[in-house]
Amino acid sequence: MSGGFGRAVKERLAIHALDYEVPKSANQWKYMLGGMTAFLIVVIMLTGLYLAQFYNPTAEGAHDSVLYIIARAPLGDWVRSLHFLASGALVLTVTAHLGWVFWRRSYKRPREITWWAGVLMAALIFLLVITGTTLRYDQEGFEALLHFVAGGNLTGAFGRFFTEDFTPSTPLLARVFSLHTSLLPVVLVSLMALHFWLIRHLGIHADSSQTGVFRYHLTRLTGYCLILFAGLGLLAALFPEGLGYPAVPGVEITKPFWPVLWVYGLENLLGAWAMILGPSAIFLFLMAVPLLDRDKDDGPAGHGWLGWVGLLLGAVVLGLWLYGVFGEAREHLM
Amino acid sequence: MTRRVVGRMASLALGAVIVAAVHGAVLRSSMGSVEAGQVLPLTGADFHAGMTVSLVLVGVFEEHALGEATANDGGDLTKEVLIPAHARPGDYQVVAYEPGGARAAALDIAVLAAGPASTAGQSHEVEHAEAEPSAATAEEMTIERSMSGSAWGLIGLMIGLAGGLGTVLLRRTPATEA
Repeated sequence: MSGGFGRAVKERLAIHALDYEVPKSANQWKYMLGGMTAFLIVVIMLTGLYLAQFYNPTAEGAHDSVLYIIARAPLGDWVRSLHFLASGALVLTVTAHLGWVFWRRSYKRPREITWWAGVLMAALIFLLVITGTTLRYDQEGFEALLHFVAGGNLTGAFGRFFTEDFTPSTPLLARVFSLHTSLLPVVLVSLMALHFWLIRHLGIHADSSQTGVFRYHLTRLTGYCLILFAGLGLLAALFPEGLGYPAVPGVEITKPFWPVLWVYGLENLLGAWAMILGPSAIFLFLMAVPLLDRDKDDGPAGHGWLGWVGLLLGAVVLGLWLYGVFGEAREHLM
Repeated sequence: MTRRVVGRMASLALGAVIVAAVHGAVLRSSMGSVEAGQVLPLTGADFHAGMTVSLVLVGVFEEHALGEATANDGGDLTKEVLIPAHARPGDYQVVAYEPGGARAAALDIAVLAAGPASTAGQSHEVEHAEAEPSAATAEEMTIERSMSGSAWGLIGLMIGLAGGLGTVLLRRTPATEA
């Protein structure tokens, strides 16, 4: 009976479409970093939808509404902590995924657009992280918002959206909230759809001497994702995310969320322009990678000079991050 | 002819029902924001004639009684209310409650930090967090986090189910697929 019911459901949901061939070597966890990244995006979207029901994106109400989420909203404290921890985990998985794909040279023909879509998604995730930190509207969030304004002023007309001059009808915090919860996620999901489509039709770039079915790969990926969820959920329960005091304007005394600390370290060295130049340099390098690697061989570890540049950039970012973590807190905008 | 008259009367009756359903009292102010400790002028319209309403300042964490106001024969009311000096800055509603406790009308209002004269000896303390420091700080607030037993149970269930099912799935699908 249950077998018949299962078959009927599978037939109607076209589950057999998941039985296409994939390399068996892709069942290792290293090839599942992209899938885990997609899963974390789903977790962040669901928790974010919940938090948005209680959040008030106004200068007067934002901090109180976060306090309300922590102290009174049902499961609010845990959901907010899960949202925060999942976003940190997302930065780790997307960085590891990019690093692994770069090492494997999976960006080579015919997968250039898959790579570019991935790099754009990584940039969007970075933007989502920094827009998210402003919303807490404590001292750290307020100073992050000041960086948006400073960056907007530095880049002139291009960055006008991030200044109060853009429109008198909607405050900056409300527009950043809208960017964080609607525009950026919509673009991210659209790029994810393109990324998945290309992976489905161009295949996973792995040793394909032996093949299995995608459903097996997906089941294993689901296992990893559920364990990741359990781990993050446990951490969220044991170490709930805090909140600073309401912001006092006119000072700059906090350090940003840890994924942004390498930019903070660069700002310590080069000043406010660093927050635009640093991420832009990394982004442009990653976008140029498929064009710069002209070697016909597409095996791993054959990057030549490009690999050394990538390694050097990675080491510089790590060094700046450590400087951001352990260095003194400095003012960049005041 | 009779049908037309009956039809028109039915339309009018339906219209009256709709008007009655959407008809409600309104509360207005010439100010969109007010400093704590200052006076907020209020006007109201379309209240029941002669009805006395209680005015309450309702925020996320606190409520302050602002006094009562009585509508005239035309259903209008006018009142100046004092926003308490210790009201925490933030988004609030001024709500007019009927004698039975039903909400008659509400007005969104932002309460701004009180000026130095009205804050002397006051602190904006929230029920779930300690008083704010006077200077900027990178420190985190100490917040009273209250989670019910059922909430903890639900969280534990989700974590347990996810962890258990994830382990089963990984065991059923070894990395070296047969």
